[in-house]
Amino acid sequence: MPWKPFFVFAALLLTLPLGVAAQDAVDDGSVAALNEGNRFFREGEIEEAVEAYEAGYSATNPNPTLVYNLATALHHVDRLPEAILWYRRAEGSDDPWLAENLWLARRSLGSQVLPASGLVGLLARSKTALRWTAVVLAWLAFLGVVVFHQRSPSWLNATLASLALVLYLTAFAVGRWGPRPSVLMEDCITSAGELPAGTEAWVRRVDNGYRVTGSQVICPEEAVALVFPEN
Amino acid sequence: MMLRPRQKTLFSLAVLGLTVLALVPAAQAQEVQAQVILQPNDVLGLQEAAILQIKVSSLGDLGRMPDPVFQLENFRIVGGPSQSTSLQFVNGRSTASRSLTWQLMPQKLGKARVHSVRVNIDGRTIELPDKEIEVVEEAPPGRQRQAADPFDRLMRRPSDPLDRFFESPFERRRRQRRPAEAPRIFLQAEISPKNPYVGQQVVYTVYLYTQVNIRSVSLDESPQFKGFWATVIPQPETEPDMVEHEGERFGKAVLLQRALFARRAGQYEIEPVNFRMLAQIPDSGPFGSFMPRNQEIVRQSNDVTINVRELPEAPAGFNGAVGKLDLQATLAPADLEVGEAATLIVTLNGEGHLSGVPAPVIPEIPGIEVFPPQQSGEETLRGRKVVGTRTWSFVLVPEKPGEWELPPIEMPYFQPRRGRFEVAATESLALTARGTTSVAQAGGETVELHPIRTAALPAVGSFSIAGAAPWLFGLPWVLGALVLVLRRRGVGEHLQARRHLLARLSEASSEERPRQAAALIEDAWRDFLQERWDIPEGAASPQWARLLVERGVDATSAEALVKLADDLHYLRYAPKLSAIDDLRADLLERSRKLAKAVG
Repeated sequence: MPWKPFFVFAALLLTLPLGVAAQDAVDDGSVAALNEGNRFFREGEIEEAVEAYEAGYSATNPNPTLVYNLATALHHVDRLPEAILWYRRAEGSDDPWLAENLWLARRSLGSQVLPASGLVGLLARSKTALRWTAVVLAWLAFLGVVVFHQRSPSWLNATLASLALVLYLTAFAVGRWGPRPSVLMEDCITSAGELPAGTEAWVRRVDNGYRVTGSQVICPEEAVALVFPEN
Repeated sequence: MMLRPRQKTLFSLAVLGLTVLALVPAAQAQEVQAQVILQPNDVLGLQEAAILQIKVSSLGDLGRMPDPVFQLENFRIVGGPSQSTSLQFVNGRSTASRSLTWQLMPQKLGKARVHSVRVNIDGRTIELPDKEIEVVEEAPPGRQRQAADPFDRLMRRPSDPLDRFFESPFERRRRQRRPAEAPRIFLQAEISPKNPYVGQQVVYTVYLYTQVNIRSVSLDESPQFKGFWATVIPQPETEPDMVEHEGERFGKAVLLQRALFARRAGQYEIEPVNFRMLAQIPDSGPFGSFMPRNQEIVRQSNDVTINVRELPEAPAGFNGAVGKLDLQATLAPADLEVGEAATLIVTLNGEGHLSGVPAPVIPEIPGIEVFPPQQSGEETLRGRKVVGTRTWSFVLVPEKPGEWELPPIEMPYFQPRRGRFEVAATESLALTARGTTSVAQAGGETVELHPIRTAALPAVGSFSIAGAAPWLFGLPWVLGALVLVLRRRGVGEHLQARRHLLARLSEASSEERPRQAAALIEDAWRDFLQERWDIPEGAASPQWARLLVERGVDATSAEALVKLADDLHYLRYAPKLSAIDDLRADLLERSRKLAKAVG
């Protein structure tokens, strides 16, 4: 019986628990906070609901429902810059309500979404795509080495592996040191320009705050909230 | 040349006729008389009216006679011309006369003159002498009563001797009975206050003082009030007040009243104003009783001088408002959604002329867009005071949610009564803007704010496998590296040896001859043991167990392999076999199982 297909199959099986783990990542603490926040919300105590949702939020293991509800509660009490921030953090849940609420919040504030400009901005926006492309290329190289090593030329395997490595490291570097999405919590008024609270911009850390990419505006640290501060 | 007597006679007649013919036009020309009369002819009171009469008389027809021309100095025409013509036959000769009469009012004290008087008759111009008169404050005492009504004088005392000749006996009698004292009627113009500030209200009033009933009054021409904004103060019909003036009793009534607001500082003069009145003059009837008669008269007021003062140095923000003012503001709605509009109505009202007051400045409010105001205003009278209202409507649109306190709107103004600047201010106003909870899209569909989720959202996107990317990327590298290591350590070669063993066992199973089949199986094992476990090919089979155990193979499998080798020898060298096929199949099956255990 050939061992290589079994080997590859076993390797793929190893990846399944990762997805399953992600699906079941919601811990009991966030669920309790979600239920408490929902109860406050139903009773009209929106600020208390916000506090409950915030208490249950875990940056490393976010509960998508809790994040959406937190954003919506903030929206109901007109804390729109914060609502936009949390809607952005909840975007991964792919909820149609979220998209419409975010649109409404942006419309209410008249806020603008500033794109990341330049090559670095393009890479920052494409960070996820780069990462997943690197994953696919790595697996292709693996199959070439393990399964098709008699028929796949070694230079091809090496090229695939190198490309995967470059892409992944690029995505890592851009994520670590490149511009990051953020929402302005306060009006950022500088001599170089004025950005109102609620503006969504890509920023890069500098000594005295965050510089908005594509401009000379440097906003103070307290005025900027990163969408994914843990990344 | 000698003439005969008859010829002399004819010559004399011809000369006489030519002389007569030559003299007729001259005689006719001498018969045209023009006359200018100005009455009175010495002094004239400022309140009096003078009569200018130009009279032309001629023997025969006057023919075409245009109106005479003349120049006035310190006079103003207030009436006329009235015209009268007459034709008389005296001793068979006709005399035509034409009289034009104007009423003149003096404009100021001093000399008043009528000059450059010319009459044009049938292409001939007759220049008449100038007339000059002295204008004084009051008419001479002896003529004061008569001066009260110049028309009366004109009508009762014709200056023309011919008119006097044809005067009616009743007229003469009435003139003779005319009382010595005629009633007094005059106008008095006043302003209050006399020294106003720029923009302060001034009341200009023309009073009528009269000792007789006045049936009707009409304004000839209103003053221009240059330099002022003026509005009429209507006068209700009231009985005149009885007042005493210079020791005499008068009825006093307001004929004209205006509210004036000076635009700039300086000295202004308001010209006199003329009124035409129908007065009831008491007169004695033919039988001694007093019967009033209606008489039209013209009176002129005095002119008035106003000194308008400049405002003191104005504070910042002063925009010209003068008066006694109040500023109020309302905001509706005070609670709205972002993007909706609130209306801020600022109202300025109070005493004063407010139509020129610009809109107040709304301080800049971050987050609120303020649009230019619509403005309206009206002015009314409260008694004699002009009361204005000025309203500005601002549209405020919050650009984001929040709460604002609109600061008081301030408007400095000048309070003329106190002679200082004051500030009218509104109360501060609160405005709350909530976030938009619904917006209609271009297609008509309305997007509303969705509530919270009570059911768990599916974890997709970044919530599902985003965190797995590092693992998925690292796994092929780890596995690939593992394969390479294993390959380097020969695991693959061992598997290859077992695969070769199994292949040779399959070949042996197809061998029909039992002894050859046994030999093939034994050779396959010997090659396998050498390839996989490095056991020498010539090693005796009883030694395999020990050698295999030494190389890590479990003892049971090693012993089973030795037993298999014994059975292979039995099959290979047995003399006669009865059930050889079964034995061969058993050996092959046992070899395959041992291949897994030993391989």
